[in-house]
Amino acid sequence: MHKDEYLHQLTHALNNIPEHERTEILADYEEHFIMGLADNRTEEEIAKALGDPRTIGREYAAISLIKRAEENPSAGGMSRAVTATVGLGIFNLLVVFIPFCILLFLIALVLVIGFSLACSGPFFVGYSVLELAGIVNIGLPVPPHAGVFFGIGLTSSGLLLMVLDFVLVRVLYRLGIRYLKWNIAVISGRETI
Amino acid sequence: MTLPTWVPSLREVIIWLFIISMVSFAIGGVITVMDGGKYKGNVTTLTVPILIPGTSISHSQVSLILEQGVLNISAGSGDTLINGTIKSKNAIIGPVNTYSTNNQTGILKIRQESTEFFDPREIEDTWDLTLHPDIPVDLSIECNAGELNINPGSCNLTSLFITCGTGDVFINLSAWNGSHLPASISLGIGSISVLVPEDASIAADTKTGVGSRTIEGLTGSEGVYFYTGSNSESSVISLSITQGVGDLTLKRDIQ
Repeated sequence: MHKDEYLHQLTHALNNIPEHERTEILADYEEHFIMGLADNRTEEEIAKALGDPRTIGREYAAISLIKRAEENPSAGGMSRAVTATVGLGIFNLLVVFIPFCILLFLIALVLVIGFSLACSGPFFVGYSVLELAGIVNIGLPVPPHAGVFFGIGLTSSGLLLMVLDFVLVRVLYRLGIRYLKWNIAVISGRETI
Repeated sequence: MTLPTWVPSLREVIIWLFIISMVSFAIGGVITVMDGGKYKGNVTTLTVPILIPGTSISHSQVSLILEQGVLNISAGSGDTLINGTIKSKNAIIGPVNTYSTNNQTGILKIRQESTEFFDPREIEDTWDLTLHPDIPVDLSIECNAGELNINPGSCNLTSLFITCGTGDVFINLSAWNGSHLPASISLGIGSISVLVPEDASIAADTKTGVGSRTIEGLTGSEGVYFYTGSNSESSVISLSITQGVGDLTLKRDIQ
């Protein structure tokens, strides 16, 4: 593959990343060709040594999305970064996509449990108060005085779980970004990205 | 954007919620322990006698709908279609019965007390019922969660239809001696044990999910089992069993 064709394919593969990053990457690869030619190597040899431009494009696109997700944290940004990383190889389905889905499930599960507890508390307090007042006769499993406190405890522990889930999301987000960077570094053979 | 000083930090929110939770549970626990189990939570146990006359009918359709509890069915000896008691924990009105006759067919439906809306009461029933020994009965049982012990003895059971969400189902048909009994059992989670007469012809179609399967005295494989009675006048039982999770035991009552 000649230099022009190589750079054309690379440009096409880098279509989804910001203009300034694309220009920088293309300049780097052009420089590789210039230096290679100065060493009396042919354009075909240099292109072969540099690797498949489409694969390189996908890697840079994933790196760009990860950086954007890191700078502007959002669920959408993280999802795009994960999707781009998964696209780098079938093996990433196992080591990136499945763990990502499991973590999402766990986060949602903790949130649902916390929300349920937080909602059940007021009911418990309400029924306890109504039973204390002699308005209803519902057969609480504990004395109604205790039921009031258990209800408050349920609500506050539910809220606590939801807050802790929020903290967990922040921690997992940071760890996830680091893991994606490490994953791409391993795949591309770079030390860091 | 900086938050106003009166807004607590995330760390403070966590600490306060933790303290409130612990203190509330501790106070609630202390009150419960000090009460020493004396508080019965206004739990009421209602005992309702069930007595449906069996006169002037030649056939019957019995439908039992139990949300949660234990159902024991055995053979009766009197002249009643259904006889027995229903004990209901936390119930207010107890079970609801409807009985009518149509062309000498008695149609009975007994439904556990329940509401369509969220109900914090844990209504739990224990039904002890006996069947008329001679009147043919089409028996249908629906249960959400519970334990079903069906032991009709030599009652004239003409069909048996059971659907249950969670629980254990035990059916003893070893003394049944009718001509043909179609029986269908559908259970989500729990064990099923069925004991069939020694000399009846059996055709069982079983579909089970997770759990062990114990089949004794019948031949067959892959969920389909059968046994041919010793003579052409043997009773015939057609069993259809669908089970999600749990153990299945199907045995002939070999003496």
